[in-house]
Amino acid sequence: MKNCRRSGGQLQGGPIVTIVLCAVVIVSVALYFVHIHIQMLELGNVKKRLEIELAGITKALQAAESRYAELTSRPVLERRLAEIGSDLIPIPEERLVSLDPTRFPGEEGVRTVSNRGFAAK
Amino acid sequence: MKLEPGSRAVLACVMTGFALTGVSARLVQLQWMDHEKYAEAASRKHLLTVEIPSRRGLIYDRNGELLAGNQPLIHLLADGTRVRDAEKAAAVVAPWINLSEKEIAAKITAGIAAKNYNIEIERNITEERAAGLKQALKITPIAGLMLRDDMRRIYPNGTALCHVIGFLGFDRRGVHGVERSMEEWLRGVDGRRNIERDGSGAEIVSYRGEEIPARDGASVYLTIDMGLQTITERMVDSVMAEHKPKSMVVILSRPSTGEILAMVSRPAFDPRTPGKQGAGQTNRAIASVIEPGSTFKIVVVAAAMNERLADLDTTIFCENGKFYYGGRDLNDHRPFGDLTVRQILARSSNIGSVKLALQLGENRYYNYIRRFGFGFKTGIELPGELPGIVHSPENWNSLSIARIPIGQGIAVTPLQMLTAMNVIANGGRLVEPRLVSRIEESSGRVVKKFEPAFSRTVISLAASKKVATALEDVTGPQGTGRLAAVPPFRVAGKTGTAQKAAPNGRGYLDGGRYVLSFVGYLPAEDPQISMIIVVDEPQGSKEDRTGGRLAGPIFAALAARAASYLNLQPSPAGPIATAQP
Repeated sequence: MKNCRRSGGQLQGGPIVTIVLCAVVIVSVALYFVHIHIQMLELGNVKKRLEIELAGITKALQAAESRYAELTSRPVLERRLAEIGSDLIPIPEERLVSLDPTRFPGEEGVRTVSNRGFAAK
Repeated sequence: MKLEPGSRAVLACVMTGFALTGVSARLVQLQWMDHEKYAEAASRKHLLTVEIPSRRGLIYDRNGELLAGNQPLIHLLADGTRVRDAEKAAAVVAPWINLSEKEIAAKITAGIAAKNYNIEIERNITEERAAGLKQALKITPIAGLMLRDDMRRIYPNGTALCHVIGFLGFDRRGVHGVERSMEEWLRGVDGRRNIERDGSGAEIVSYRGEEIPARDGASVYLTIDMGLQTITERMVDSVMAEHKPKSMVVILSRPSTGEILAMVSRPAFDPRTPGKQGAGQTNRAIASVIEPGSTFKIVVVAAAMNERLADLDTTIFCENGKFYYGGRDLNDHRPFGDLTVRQILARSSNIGSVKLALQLGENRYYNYIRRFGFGFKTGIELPGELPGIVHSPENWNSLSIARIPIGQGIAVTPLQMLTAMNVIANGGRLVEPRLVSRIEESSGRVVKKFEPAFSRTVISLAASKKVATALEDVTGPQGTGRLAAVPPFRVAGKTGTAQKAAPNGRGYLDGGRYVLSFVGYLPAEDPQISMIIVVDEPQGSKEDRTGGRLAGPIFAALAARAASYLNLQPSPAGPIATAQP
């Protein structure tokens, strides 16, 4: 009888531990979920910021490319050449000699174009 | 009334039951019956589909020189329904744009009065200024001011190659030139992204929904060589200034592949302001027809050679300059007696050419005209090409067979005439002209390559060689095109001096109005470049208004420069280039 009373007042350790463990696991999972969720939001914001930065860089690159294209276009370069090259004396066409050896079909070897222009100097 | 404790409990239960039933009913209504309605309202509030803009493809020449590009721009706008203080907004904005504070304030005030939510304060703000403006707005936020990104098409070379490149319309679609013909490739496909916003309107990136990325337009590489194009444009402009013709066309091509290396049409226009020069927008190389005159004689001679009706040394009596046929006299520009076929071409005898056509007969001759590509579009990658006018023999009158062989009563485009000359240069094969070399994605992957297209064999190799030999005589000492000679190269070509037809199609215009032309290629033994020069109604003395005297020297000057640019090898039979001391 005494033993029965004693055993009836005892706490059942196993279920409590189980319940506490379950609660801890559930709370941990929930907290982890919240943590992950917040991290996702933060990473999303970082992603957005990087996207904006990338878009800005891309746009700046495109702007630079278009500026480069305009500054190196033929009309601009020709105008610039006319400005800085006005003192240059153009080479007469008849003094131009092709440096590529002239090769005719069926003929091999190097053929001299002319040495006269050089001999005269 | 006093209730028993048991009854009070029952009443409380019943009332609670009713209340819970009411709440449940409302929940059922919200969650089930009106679900669609509220879900849509919530979506409208939080979900949004944003567009991801694509970039239009670029246009390059064969060496990668940029011909059409994109420039990012920023526009400053204001929402008239949200801006509260126009003066304050103007003070913040003014240092970064080209308007004064007063002007900005006036614009915004007018927009506020009109409740305009899209007030355009300034367009096309540069990137640097926009960055400064953004910083200023960060320090002093002004509700209702917006910076909108945009893109502008740029043509760095201005009017150069304008007819080939074309331009865009207000809807950003190509309306002219390659911009139009290659629209499908150049135009990208905008992407889209479904996003979710929080209460402040900011995107919740982690809740991002479906995303279809934008696909940028592909870049188009032309066969045009801007070096040659510039040389040609300069030459054309100097001729336009000196001889003041109504219009002029020059096309340079590589005969073996059909690649167009340069194409110039005058008058021209500026693709950056296309609306201002409507008349100059016609690309006369493909969208304007002319009576070709004597250049068309190559067809009848080639046909006669191919049918073995005549050989180079076959003699034809040229009636001493006057041949009566079909009730009309046909004249030569000077009297000729017996001429060989090669002399007929070299001296451009009308009577000799007509006699060859008479030997061929109407149907056979007509068949050759078509096989040379006349009456068909060449298929070049440009919009607005004309097929020309070639009547079938059923519609010919008794005089047609005596007029068409000398390039009258037929209308062709300069490009068709050049393509026909390329048939001779290519040993009798017709190669379709082409302007686009390849199409590349922005990643560099070639998505389409345009290879040379051989349409058909028009005449035999032997016949084409004979015609080529005769065409070389044209630029010889006795030929009408002797001024088109380009020593040390052997040049084959044909001159044309066509009296202009009256607009109503009856007869010819008085006053010595001519279309002068020269079409040819070099080196004759291994054709590397072919060219057509067409000068419409040049001013000057009558003696100078012939294809040989005006178009011939232009051909020679251009061909010499092109040969130098391309470093072509001199012809073996010609004298070797020497450097004079």
